[in-house]
Amino acid sequence: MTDISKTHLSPPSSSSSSRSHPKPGVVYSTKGEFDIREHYCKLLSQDPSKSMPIAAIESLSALCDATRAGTIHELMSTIEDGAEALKKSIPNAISLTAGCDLFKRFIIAHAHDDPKDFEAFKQQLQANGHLFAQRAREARDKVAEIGADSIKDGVTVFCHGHSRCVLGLLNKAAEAKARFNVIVTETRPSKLGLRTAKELRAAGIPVAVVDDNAMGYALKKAKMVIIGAEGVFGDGSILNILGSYQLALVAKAYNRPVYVATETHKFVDIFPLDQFNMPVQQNIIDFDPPKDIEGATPQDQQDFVDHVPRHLIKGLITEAGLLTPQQVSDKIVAMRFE
Amino acid sequence: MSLGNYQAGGEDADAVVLRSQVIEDYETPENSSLNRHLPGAYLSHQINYLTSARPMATAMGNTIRWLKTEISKISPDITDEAAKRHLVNAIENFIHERLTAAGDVIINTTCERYIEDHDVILVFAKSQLVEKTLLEAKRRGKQFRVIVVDSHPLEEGRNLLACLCENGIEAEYIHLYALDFGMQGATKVFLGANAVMANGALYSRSGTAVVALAAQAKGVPVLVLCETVKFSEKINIDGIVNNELAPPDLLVNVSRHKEFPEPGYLEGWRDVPNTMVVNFMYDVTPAECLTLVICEHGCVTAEGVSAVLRMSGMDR
Repeated sequence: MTDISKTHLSPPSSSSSSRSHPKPGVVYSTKGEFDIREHYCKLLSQDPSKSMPIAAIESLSALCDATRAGTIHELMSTIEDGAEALKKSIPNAISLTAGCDLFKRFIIAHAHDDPKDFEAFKQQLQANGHLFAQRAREARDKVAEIGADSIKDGVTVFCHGHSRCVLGLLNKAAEAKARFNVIVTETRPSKLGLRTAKELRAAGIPVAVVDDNAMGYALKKAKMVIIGAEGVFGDGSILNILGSYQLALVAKAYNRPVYVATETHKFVDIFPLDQFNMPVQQNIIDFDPPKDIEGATPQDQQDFVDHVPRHLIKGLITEAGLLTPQQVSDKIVAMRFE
Repeated sequence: MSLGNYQAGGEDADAVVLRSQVIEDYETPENSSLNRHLPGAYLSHQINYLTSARPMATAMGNTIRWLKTEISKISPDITDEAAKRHLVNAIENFIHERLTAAGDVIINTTCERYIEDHDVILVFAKSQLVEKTLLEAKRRGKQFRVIVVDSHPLEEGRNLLACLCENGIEAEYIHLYALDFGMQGATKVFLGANAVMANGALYSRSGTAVVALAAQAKGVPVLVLCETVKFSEKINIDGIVNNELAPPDLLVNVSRHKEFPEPGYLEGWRDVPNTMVVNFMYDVTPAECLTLVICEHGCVTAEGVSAVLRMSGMDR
């Protein structure tokens, strides 16, 4: 059966991938086209609490529905094309790569359950797309639960940017009646730190917002650093909003522990050597800027990222517990053998 | 024999090829079964012969252990011919999977992800895998430069340098004492391996540790290219235990030509009381100095190699 389906279906899928795409982020197949990029961006803008890997999983799931694959091979190649199209159309695709890989692994793991009943498998897949989103929310709560224990009375926590995991964690600690302060940077150019400050103040937590330049000045008054992550790499290093690397360096100089609060669905099997060895396109060092811009990078740029190497990270707070970077690395390598 | 003259680099490959021939020549004596007689009474002599030429390398140890397991799995009921055919096939598969294909995967991963245009890649001595990787990157049209760091007495780097030049790769050749100068321009360091120990330490040609330390001091990433067959489940405490000693006269010779040795200042050292010349072949680089290890299962951190051994089921 598998051989027949292969010979019948591989020509259309290969022709669709070899055709030059007129529009990035669109999956073309014999059964119509699907703008996966648009779907992905819509999901993210509709629900700000949704993280990128989960949006990627839901987009792939929607793609599966739209293309009406008839066999498992067709489904796999559709997903493969969808993931590729999505990755190519987004400048920083690391976080969504984690989601796509998770989804693919899930399908491979369950594809052989009952190959005869493909329709049931698709239904199960659909249900699982939603299950992933639900699990992601649960994971965030679990991270908060595990991390909240480390916030003791009287500590000052240093934050940077805006992370739902970190916010959840701090809120949980406040709910548990821990008395602590938070110092958060403004985090230019996105100013996401102001959002963090606003939300923490609403929860009754005393917050001081400092200028990004005051990182080295203010960190001395903090006991620990907690940041989120957009992606966690194979060696236990992380990808996070620009400025995280310098914060981690300052923390190292002061000997303050840096903790990363993140869900395991952000683990991605990529091993970057440094900032410039990541599959991310960002034009931070610009020797030829547009004429009308005097300052640094364009101010509307929201999503510049930093790579924080593993030796600057004390531990990663995940729903699987508090892990060292090496433990995280072992977990990511273990995914290959699943 | 090539092993004894330090001519043969990939001892593992030689060992397996040899073994394949050895098994074809084998005949089980009467009153004995193949899976009892072959390892103990027959192979052990061959292994002893090999280890008399050079101490057993990790890859060789792993290979032999694998072969013995294969032999023990053979049912005593099948004929000698069938058993031999099975073993020779298994060996062919092993060579393909663990050496040839593994090497290709590593070369591909490295070229694809870790060699970029304008890279300056510093390498030490000679590793077949590193050499093949550089050639493949050149074939793919990558624009990069290589700095070959070499050291006395084996000067294996010259061999690599000749090969790079032949293939039109821009290369610079320096000796270990000029390492600091070389490291200033380097963007990446590629190292081959004799073994990666269970704690992530790299066991490789002596001088490697110096190169890795210098790279770490300058913030240059260090990449190790190594097939999993060279992953060891053992740990070397330091660079001295289990090290291999080459003939001291190699070290004493100051001539550039091996055919015309010149003893230099150390002439007659054997007559000086309490004097020893020790020629260590390998050294141990701690895991902290290594950025990552590239094996056929993908990239891992140096500390993560024992996890790969465990998960891929090779420790059994």
